[in-house]
Amino acid sequence: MNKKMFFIGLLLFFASEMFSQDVDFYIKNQNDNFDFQKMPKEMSFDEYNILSQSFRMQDMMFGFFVPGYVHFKANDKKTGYALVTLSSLSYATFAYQLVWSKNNLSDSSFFYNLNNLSSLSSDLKTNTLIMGGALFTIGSSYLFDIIHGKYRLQKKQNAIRYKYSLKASLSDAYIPNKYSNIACFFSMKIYF
Amino acid sequence: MKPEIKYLQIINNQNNKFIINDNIRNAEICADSLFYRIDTYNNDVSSFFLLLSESYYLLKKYDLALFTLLQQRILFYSDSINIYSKKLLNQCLNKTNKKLPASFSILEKSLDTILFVNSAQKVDFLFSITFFINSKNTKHKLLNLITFYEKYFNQNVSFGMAKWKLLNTAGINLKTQTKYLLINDFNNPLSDYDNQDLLYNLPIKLKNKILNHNT
Repeated sequence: MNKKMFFIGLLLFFASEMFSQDVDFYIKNQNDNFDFQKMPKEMSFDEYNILSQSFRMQDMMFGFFVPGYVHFKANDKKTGYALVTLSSLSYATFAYQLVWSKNNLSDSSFFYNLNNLSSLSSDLKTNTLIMGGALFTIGSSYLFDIIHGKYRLQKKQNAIRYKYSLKASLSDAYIPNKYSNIACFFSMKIYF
Repeated sequence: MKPEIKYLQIINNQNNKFIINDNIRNAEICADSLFYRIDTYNNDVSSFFLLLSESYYLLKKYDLALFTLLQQRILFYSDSINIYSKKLLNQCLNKTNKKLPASFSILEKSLDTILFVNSAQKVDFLFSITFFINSKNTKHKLLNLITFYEKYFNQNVSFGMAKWKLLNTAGINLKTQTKYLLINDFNNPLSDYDNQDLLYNLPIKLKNKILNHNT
């Protein structure tokens, strides 16, 4: 009896979720791709673009390969290009110092040299310090890009939302809610 | 326009430069639309321009603040009774004092008493004053004035405006523009002018550069 009730309940649950022939847990209407939003008339495309952005894990991954990625996403091109130049210079110096050390100096590793700086010769010391500095700038520019880029994006989004929502409330205009005329009742949607 | 005015009041009191800068684009759209209500006497219009100039002043763009105040005083109802607008005008003049010619101080005192025959003269006068503010930021404002003049009044622009347009399209520097575009050009009543009339007193190299660019 309990098993029968369990399977009946499971069947009812799936029946309420199914709106198509496929099993569809997160229901998405076919017309969502061209569901046009009600926008303020004065909004520019740049503002719309910034509002529709969101900071995700894949942006952190992309930012590792493309310096300044998050700042370009937030439409902050100056800092983006500055990060690009800084990262590229540091990569270039690191590569140059690495090649120079392999050609001219001993075969000891970079991390060994870092730990034993006092016992090194002057050339080797400068070499390791420059390489360490280049690595530090690369890492710090990446972190700056993510943290500061996210901050800039959120600040711009908040400013745009504040502006248009306050203007709408000051104009005493009625803005209807998108879902105000829909009621869900088990497997049905009632429109009124 | 009323929600824009209320919003400007709120953000100017907050003194948050980021939000003020973000709203400048929207306020300029509203200001450009008010051009077509020239010669109207409305308190909302004067308060809007005053608030816009205040936001420019808070952003330290004193030349644009000065332009908006002059725009309101010359093209619309003159709120000379308002003490705050006079104070703001004086502050803007003090901040941009290095770039103004000496004759401007005389004009500023007589702004309340200047009488214009028609609104085309008002636009011409505003153009001449903004040119003598002598800044890069007012260049797009001057272009807007010329396009508005040609659309609204449906006649050729004045001598001074046409000469500035010619120099600007040829890519002449602001410094050389101030050298060869004088007050007499703006007071010239000539309406049927040629390129030869406009380039009368210029050196030969400059003339050739302009003519080559325009052909």
